[in-house]
Amino acid sequence: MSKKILTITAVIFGTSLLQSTVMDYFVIFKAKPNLLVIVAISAALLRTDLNAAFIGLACGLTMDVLIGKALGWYGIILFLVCFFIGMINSKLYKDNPLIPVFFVFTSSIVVETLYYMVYYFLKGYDEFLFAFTNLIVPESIYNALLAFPIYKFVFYLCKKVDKFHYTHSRL
Amino acid sequence: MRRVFGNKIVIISLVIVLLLVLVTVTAGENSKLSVVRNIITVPLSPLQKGIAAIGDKIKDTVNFFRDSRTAIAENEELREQVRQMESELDKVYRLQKENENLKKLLSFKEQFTQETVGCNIISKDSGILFEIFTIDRGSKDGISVNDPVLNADGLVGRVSRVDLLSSKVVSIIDTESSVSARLSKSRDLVILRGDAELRTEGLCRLDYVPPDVEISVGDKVETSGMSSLYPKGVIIGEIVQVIKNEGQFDYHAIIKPAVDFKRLEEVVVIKVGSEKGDEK
Repeated sequence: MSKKILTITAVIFGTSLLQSTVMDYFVIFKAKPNLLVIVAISAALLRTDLNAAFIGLACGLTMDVLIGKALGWYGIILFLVCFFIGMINSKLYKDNPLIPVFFVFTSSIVVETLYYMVYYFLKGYDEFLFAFTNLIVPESIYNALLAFPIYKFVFYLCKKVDKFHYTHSRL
Repeated sequence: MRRVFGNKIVIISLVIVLLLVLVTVTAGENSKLSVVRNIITVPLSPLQKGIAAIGDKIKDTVNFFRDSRTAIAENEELREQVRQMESELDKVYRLQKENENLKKLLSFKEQFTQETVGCNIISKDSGILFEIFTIDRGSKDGISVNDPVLNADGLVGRVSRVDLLSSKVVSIIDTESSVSARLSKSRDLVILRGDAELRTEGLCRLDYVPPDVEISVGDKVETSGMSSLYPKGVIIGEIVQVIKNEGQFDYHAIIKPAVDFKRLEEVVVIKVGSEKGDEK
């Protein structure tokens, strides 16, 4: 159990470090990929429902801290999205590279749109169309492009952790 | 099966209720519970600082070759400027002395006496909806919420959240920011706001420009000192476009900030909040 949590913490810490520093140099068409969303969705595709949901929660809260607004909105949204993906992922064929690409793309759109809806609830959605077409969709496309390599990395980590727990539970 | 599913629903609703409580408690910028943010920001900030420093080094070496070509012509130009400025400086010294004496006579209250602290920007906002960045000093260095942030060119923004070793700065082009400003030429009061669409180009808008004000492209805008947030007379930027709305009483303008937000590396924070705290 502890190795699992240690791995998750290390991955989230490393990702948030990359996200907040190096990603500034990879801005294309004003869009910047959000690595934490990709990691959360990739983990959700490989884990069962509640496990997935809590990984999503951890990633979401880290995003909240990095962004510097009220803590918890990304947490709630990613918690629910990851729970949903965790519930249906047993029906998916996980070796197909299009599965993570599709899920990361749709989830990025859902997560950012919901956050926008919550955040601008009292200020009105006048700028929503602009934000959606110029910020949210480009980010989601960028996320989708990075989805497969990151998914492979998370897949490899999951396998490692599972193998460790399997061998240790037999001892 | 049903019991298992029911159990999950309980856990999920419990987590969501807890998170909603966390959201409401941490919504205010001065919230005491924002301390939990330190769990992530304290270990993160020294590493961010290191990476930012390496990034700057790399940028400098890349720019070195490009800059060396233009350096000779620029050098000549600058020498000429220095000669001009030296003669002007003498005049300024005399005026400054005179100004000080006159202010003393009038017992004028100085607004710009607070202590300042220089900071490096160690990370840009990780989301896409806001224009926020992180600086490498926090409550340990005496920074508090709402302290104004400047650099040599002009106004940058204000501190919005403070952690132990780092803090977040909301820049003036963020949609949440509004600054009480003054047109340098005509001394009219206006309000400077961030705009969702202009933000992506590094611009912001000027609202409530009365119709009888003479305003034209190239006019400078500075802080008014009317709010307690920003010191008076700090340059914000210049007008690049004036828009007259049909059927509306006042019109608005588009401002290009004096600060280049894309290439911002160092800023200065004026420690206003800590001084106010001492008075209490």
